[in-house]
Amino acid sequence: MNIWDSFIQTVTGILSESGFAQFFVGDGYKNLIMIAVACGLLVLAIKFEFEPLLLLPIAFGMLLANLPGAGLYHPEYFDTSNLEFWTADGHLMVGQVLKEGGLLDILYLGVKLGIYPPLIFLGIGCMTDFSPLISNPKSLLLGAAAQLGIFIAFVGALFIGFDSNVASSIGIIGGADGPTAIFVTSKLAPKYLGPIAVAAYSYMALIPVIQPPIMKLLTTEKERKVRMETLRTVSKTEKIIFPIAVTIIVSLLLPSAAVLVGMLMLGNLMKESGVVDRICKTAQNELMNIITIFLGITVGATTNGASFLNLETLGIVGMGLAAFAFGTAGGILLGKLMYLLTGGKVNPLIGSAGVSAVPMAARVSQKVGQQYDPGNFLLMHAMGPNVAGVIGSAVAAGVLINLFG
Amino acid sequence: MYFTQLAIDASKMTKGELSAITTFSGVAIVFGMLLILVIMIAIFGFFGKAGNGKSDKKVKAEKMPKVKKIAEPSSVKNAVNASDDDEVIAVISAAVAMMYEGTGKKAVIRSIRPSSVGRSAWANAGIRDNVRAF
Repeated sequence: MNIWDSFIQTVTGILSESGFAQFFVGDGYKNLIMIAVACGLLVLAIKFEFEPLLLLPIAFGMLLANLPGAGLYHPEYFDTSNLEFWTADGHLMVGQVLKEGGLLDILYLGVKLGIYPPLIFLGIGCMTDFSPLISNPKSLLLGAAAQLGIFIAFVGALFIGFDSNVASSIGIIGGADGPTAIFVTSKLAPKYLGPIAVAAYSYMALIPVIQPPIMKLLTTEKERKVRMETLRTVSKTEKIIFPIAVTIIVSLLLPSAAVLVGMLMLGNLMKESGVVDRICKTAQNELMNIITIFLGITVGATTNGASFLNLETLGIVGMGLAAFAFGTAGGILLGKLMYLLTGGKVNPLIGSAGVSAVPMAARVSQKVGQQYDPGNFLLMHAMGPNVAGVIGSAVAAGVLINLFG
Repeated sequence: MYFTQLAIDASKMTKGELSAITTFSGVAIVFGMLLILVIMIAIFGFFGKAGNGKSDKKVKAEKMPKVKKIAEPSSVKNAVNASDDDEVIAVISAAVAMMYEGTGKKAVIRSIRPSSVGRSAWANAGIRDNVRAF
């Protein structure tokens, strides 16, 4: 009898300590919901191939972080009020995290310390061709206008009750640049990293759905059919001087943008100089892939059920959509102004590409333009504002960090 | 820290003031910064033109090669999905347009056929390695 009781007690003890039992204790059901969401995202990534390179590790990180008792990620370690891991003057005790933390805690240090986003920018720089921008410098202004969504979403978020730091992080979703959104949020509102990163990447994947209705609403058929002049050829010297000059000017005027712009331009200089092909290939392939895995899985891990499933997340998702929509509108409206000022030589559709999201936003401009004139090739014209948007969103990030950091 | 000296004290402002200051300063700085870059590019573009001579010559959009609607050979449909045909043809047309850029010549694409499949496995592997997506 005693043996039987002991056996029952042992089994009951194991079951009550198991992750399954934790689902029914306190906020545990939220973890169960998040696991279902993670599985849904995995289906989107694997079956429908929606941004699979990012969505798959993010979704799996979400899955791992919501398995009760697994202890792979501990958000409480990164709470500044936890004096076991933070000094009184607000510095993270990295050694303590390395000693106590799980795998994802350690990988998350790359996000927390702002290491991954600049390294992603390095890889992006290696893959980006700035020729369309150099041959048509006016397109930089379209890249600036498309950042309007960031500031409008900032105001919206402020008025629905978020504080200025969180509002800045929500606004930067409108920059349509995942690494920039993660960089700003990790500096200003790390607690909201999960919902903001998920919203940013989701909307980037949905650009072909979000942008066309706004583009059609704000332009006339005549404007959509405008054929633009062929871009001039850009010399190698110009391509080499460009990243050096941009780094110097932007970093001197706005030092807080130096890390993102500097790494972007370093990557681009490696590509354009043609003398470091080996490290350029490494930066755009192996390094970028490794960082993407680390970034994806750790961002996913920040979406713990208890902190993710709340009304604030809905507010972030809503304002993020507004940021994208107003950014698109800002670029198109400046495109329309350019259309008027140049006597119809600029197709306003290229303005929507100013929201970054390289090269998807430029492809949307091309596709919408071709719906009205199949022989019209806007792709390279749209790449100008598109890469300008990357610089523009990095500058906007620098402004927000400067103001609220 | 340098940033801290510039940071706004949001607690002493109303939401309206904070919105106005952030929006105006943010938009002004982003536009100002990119305007400076426009001027910079224009300046070194000017010197680039002087150095390159003809390479900077602009060609009007009308000089783009004409793209006629193609009677697609049935073999094309075997090579790509039917829904992707227009996109593939557009990409090939754009590539041809770029090739003739600046020459003033016109190109007309009459048909698109798959190339012969007699390439060796090593050649196919080499091509795949060089043209794979990032």
